[in-house]
Amino acid sequence: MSSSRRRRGTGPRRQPSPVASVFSWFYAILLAAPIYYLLMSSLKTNIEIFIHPFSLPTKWLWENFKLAWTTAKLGPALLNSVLICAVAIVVTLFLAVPASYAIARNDNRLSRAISKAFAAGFLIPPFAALIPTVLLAIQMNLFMTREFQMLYLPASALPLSVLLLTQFMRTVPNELVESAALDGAGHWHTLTQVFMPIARPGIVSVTILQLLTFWNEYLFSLTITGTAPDVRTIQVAVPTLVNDSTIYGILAAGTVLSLLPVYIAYSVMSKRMQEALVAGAVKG
Amino acid sequence: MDRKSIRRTTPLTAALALAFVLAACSTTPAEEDNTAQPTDTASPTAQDTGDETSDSSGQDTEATGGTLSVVTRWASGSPEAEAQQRIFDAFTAATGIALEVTEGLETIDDQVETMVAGNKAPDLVIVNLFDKTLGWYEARVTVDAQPYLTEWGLAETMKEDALNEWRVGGEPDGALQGLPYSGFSWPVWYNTDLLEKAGVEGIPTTTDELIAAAEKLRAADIDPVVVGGNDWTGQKLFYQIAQSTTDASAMKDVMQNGGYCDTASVMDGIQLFTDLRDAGVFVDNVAGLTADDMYAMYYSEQAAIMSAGSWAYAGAVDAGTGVEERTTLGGFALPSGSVFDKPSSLQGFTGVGFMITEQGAAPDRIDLVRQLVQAFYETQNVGDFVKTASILPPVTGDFASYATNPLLAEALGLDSEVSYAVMPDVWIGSASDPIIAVLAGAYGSASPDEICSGLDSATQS
Repeated sequence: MSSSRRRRGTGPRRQPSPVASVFSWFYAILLAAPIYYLLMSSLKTNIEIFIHPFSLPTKWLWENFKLAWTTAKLGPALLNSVLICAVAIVVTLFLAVPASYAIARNDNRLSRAISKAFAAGFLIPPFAALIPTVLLAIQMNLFMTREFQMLYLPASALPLSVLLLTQFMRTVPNELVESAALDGAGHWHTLTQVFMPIARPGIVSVTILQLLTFWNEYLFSLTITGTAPDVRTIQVAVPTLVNDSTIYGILAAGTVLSLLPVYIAYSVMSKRMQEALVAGAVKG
Repeated sequence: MDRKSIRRTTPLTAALALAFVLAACSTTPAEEDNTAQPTDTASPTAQDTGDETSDSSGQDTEATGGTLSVVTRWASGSPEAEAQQRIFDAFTAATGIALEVTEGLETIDDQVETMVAGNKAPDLVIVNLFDKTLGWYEARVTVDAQPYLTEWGLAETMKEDALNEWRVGGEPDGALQGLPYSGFSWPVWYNTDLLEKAGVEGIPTTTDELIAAAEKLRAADIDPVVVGGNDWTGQKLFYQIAQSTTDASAMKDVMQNGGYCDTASVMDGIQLFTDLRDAGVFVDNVAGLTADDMYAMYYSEQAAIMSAGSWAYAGAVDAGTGVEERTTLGGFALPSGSVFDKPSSLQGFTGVGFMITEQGAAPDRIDLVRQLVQAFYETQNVGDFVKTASILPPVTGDFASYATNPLLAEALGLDSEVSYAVMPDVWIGSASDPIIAVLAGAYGSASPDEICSGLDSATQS
């Protein structure tokens, strides 16, 4: 450990500069303002939302949440979103983990070419892929079904997932791999017993990242899965609250309800990610 | 089974679990039931049967009459959706025909076109005649509804004006693009309390009186005319004002083919609009406002005047400020030498109607469509729409008893007090969105020349 680092560790704690504090608070308020606006709007009338957007409600309209839930049939939509996201995450990891393992373990032209092929996936804007994807869904007879979304989302997530996981898997020391090989471990054992525990922070990170992406996906869900109450996702259900006489309090309440599950999932999983990071550090 | 074998079977188990989930959540009820045979209204009710299909609320219900696929513009939460749901529920209960209802969002036109492309076309689309839907008949997404008008016994009661608005080109011999249902009146709303408070005597009927009223209102710290300068409400008010100096046929021609800059009377109307704007008749920053801002400012009595359609009557009462009691409906003030003899207003029947798709018109589907459409036109159901959503009925009959909303009751007597300008929707067609963009500039600071050239470009694009 260098002397400068020791000084930082053992010396008196430096007080943050007042300017930094001001900027930190400003940034925090900047982030909190939209959340405050959304929460307050969910409890107000249209008039209050438009005339006094940042004031507290004069009457707290908690019934907006119930109305949003029943009007937009958010219950089934929530279940659809959970089902699609869960299956899509499983499929993504099921494909990305072995692919990353293979690329990480083979440093040759072929693996580099495959790695570049995954990276090329970033070059295709999702909007440009919309029409071909619709045609594909029609050809597969999966148009306006949840099943296509369960297959499409992992496909769209693979480039980033594979590239991220490959980097994590490349941190696995060769000594551990060789030791496992001496013990007679095959690829499956090496992947599950050596690589996956060490790459767990990466797997959790990819899960969180892709879960947020899958949950918030709107364009393809609207176009391909559609708005029928039995198949639509929460992101498609909430905009059904918009009409010629939209009650924005109910719309905001619906938006809050659509955010809650992903917020809870993120809170739970971010803790797991921290735990995984520590565990990975000890093992590494 | 030892740990080693468990590990070996894990991928297989995961794959089987995935296959099970994919198989378990297959959802194609429309496909399963697309072979439904025609059923008359005397078919067994839902309670008499054992087959299960998906009803309009997405819940399982018993029905044997087949399944009808409907896409509707009336999404949950709107007053129209309430009345619509009552008809759907009663229809399924009476006929045993299950309804597979898809709510159209703001992009209902794109949604339906995608469904058609995906070979999942609905049987019936409940939608307004605007923009892309105006091209559906030519594109063979929908069929000519004229034969059904007579066949289904609707010709006798349907208003000719309403039908003509749904005909191709607005011509009496044009193909009928759909069956009109939701008509609307679109008057100017005046808050008489605020006018009185500002010292304005009576409702302004000339543009000079309107400018004077706006000055007094501003002096009393009350906003004058509010409109969504950035959306369709601003577009309609602009055309209403611009038509003050142009006869209907010339205006229709210009709206359809362009030539704003080359038509002197239209240029006079555009000049009138900019004169009113520059005199402060509209609220500040009107170019950035939308219909929702307009409603909020008027309902909260921040602004004294707005131009809004009959769909807002229910909203005014629901706002709970009592503004409907202090509102008088009328027309927009006219300049001297106007082509209108009374203040101008708008009305139309292009609100929402029934468009029958090619799939819906198939021999094995059309009878299901007939039953649902006829149910909507039953007197008590039209009356329910009048009462709940303040629509202007497209059929003749006495619906006054259903007009319980005070604003709707007042609007029914407006014919003698206003002149009706041409509703632009049918004539501007798919240029609607580009025109709104041009007119947002018009509500800002664009000159008459900039406005007319922008409108010409938008029309010809």
